Amino acid sequence: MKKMFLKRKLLFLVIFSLLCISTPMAQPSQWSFDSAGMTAEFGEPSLFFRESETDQASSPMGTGVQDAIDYSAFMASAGARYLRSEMSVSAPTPSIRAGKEGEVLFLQSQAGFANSFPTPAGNLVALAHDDKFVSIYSGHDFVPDSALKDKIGKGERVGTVDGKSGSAAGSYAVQIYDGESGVWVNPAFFVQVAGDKKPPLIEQVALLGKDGEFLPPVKKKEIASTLQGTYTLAARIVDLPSRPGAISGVFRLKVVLDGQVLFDKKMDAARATAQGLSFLDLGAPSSSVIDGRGRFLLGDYFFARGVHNLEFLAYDFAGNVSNFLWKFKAE
Amino acid sequence: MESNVRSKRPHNYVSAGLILLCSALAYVFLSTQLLSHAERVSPADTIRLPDAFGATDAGGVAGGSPHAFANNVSYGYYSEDGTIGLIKAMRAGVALDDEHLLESDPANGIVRLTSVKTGATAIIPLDGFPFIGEKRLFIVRPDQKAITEIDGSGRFLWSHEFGTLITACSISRTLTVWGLLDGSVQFVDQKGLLVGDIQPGSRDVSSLYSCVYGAAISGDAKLVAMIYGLEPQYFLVYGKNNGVYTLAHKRKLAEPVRSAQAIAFSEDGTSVLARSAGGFIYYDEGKKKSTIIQARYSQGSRTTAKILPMHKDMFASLLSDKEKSLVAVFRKGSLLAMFPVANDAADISYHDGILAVAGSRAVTRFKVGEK
Repeated sequence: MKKMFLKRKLLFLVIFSLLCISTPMAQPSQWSFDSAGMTAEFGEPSLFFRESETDQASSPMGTGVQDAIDYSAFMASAGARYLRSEMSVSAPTPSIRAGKEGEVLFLQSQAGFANSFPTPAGNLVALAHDDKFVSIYSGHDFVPDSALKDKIGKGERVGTVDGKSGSAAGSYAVQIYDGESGVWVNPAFFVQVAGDKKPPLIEQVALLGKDGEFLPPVKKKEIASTLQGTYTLAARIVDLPSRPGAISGVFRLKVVLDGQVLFDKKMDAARATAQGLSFLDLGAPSSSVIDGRGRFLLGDYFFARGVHNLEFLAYDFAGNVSNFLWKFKAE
Repeated sequence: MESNVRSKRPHNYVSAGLILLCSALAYVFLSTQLLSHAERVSPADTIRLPDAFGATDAGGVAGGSPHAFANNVSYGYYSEDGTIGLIKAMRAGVALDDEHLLESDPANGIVRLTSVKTGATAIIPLDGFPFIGEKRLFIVRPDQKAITEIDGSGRFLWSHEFGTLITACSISRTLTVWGLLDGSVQFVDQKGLLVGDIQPGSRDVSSLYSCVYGAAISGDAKLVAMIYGLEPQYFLVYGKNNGVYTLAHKRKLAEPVRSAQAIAFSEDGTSVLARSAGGFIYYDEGKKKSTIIQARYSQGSRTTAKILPMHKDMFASLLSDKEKSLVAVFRKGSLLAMFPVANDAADISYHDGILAVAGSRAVTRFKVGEK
């Protein structure tokens, strides 16, 4: 019986591996983006949300707020808490060129009629490519070419950036959607990684239990105790560029418990589901996999009685790695 | 014999000319019905907007019935007698109707909701752009992939994240319809639950590329219309049968659009008016047929249009390009009237037989007869 189970498991693993190998992915070499620097925000918690680390149940605005409004409902919702799926690009020149030949699929202009459906993503050009990929160029600084042809060749201009918004002069966002597989692909796959020597920063790790959170002690050598039971693994990780022009972004998260790999996922794609976006093969919407402090929730695991070594590893695109080793006792 | 043939030639030219003239007249007659007195669109009055902004009390127009206006430089409210109660400088992220004013404040990551009746303001802790449809209030997330609905007092109702970018939407009292970049149309109910979807490309039509360029749902949610796909592009109408939307009508479009287009059901839900690159598409549910209305300036990709259902089976559309703006009025698939308005006209609204066109210097009102 056990043998049969093992055989089935092996067969499943073989089929799964074959499926993974056969999943169509665009060849990065077919693409090229001009950039003077990129931030792979793919999989990063939304900026506004990350900044509000204070008690989420209270108003982030301070005064003048009605008591009737439940702010915690907003802050926990997909409207506020989400993971991003774009890459910010600092343009080296005002001209923004197509990363690959394609057909104009969708054009969006901020200059529509007043009081109409809004365009928070700003001006936008979506190009459909023959391999069912769609690349999207957008931003509030981005202006699509007024005489944009229906078919665009690789390297042809799709628009310009003028840096008027003042946030980051001449920047725009790139997103890539694989229409065949129904996934958003991390655009950092399509650029040459160079120059980043700074590893990601593991800002915080925690075990979230039903009675509260268990955090590593301030003194690293101290072995703290918690109750045996099921906890959610939580980690907040950021990756900042080591110098202007370098590509930054968290690419892979790995958690090892007592020598056994608990979690090892890459920030390579986000699946589009009926419930929203699923990053790291975790649940959707993306608001369900980050908590009120911008920490990734990496799943629930049981910690039996005994001393445990829990190691968190975070990799960026250049392969730089940082780790955090946490020794604790479950009682 | 030869000479007879020669002598008939001039008559042939005259006959052909007459036939062409008659055809042209018939086309004009059939496509542009003569207006009866009851259907006439006539100028009513003009409300001049002040150059300076500063009046800040929306409650100041509560004495009358306040009406919202928005143009490219300002937004606010005026009363029936033309008094301006509130006028502010236009910026991105404003949505308003006669009852609610929503203003986004991206710097602080909030949206302000003001009740026009009471003047009370609530702060919504969301970074996004607001939208109002069928008196329902929504905030679209900055990445255009999620929507949140709030009630009139600012309370959270629901939030939903989509798998791809929102490219079109339509609101009814009970359902919201979201057209997406991946070519699907999703239905979200009043509780924020995804209750169904239509994927035209998987069962009904075949296009090389999938995308939804316009979507509309009838007030009773029995019909859904959309502009879908590229190479080729289709105008599609779905009807609800036993709780499931099935294809009721399709029309292949000769020229495609590549940006979001206006599309709306009539107030009685029996017809649809949509803008396409080849002109307006009119669909009559009774006849299950669609026709193209090739009104001047309605074609091509440079003109943008906003479509507004008026009473019963009438529509108004604001057409605009860089040089001019026009208003077209339709009934039962016929163009009733078309007239120029201020070049900077940016919005149209309709109340009780009055069609208001908001330009940057004035709101011009027209009486529309109800048949």
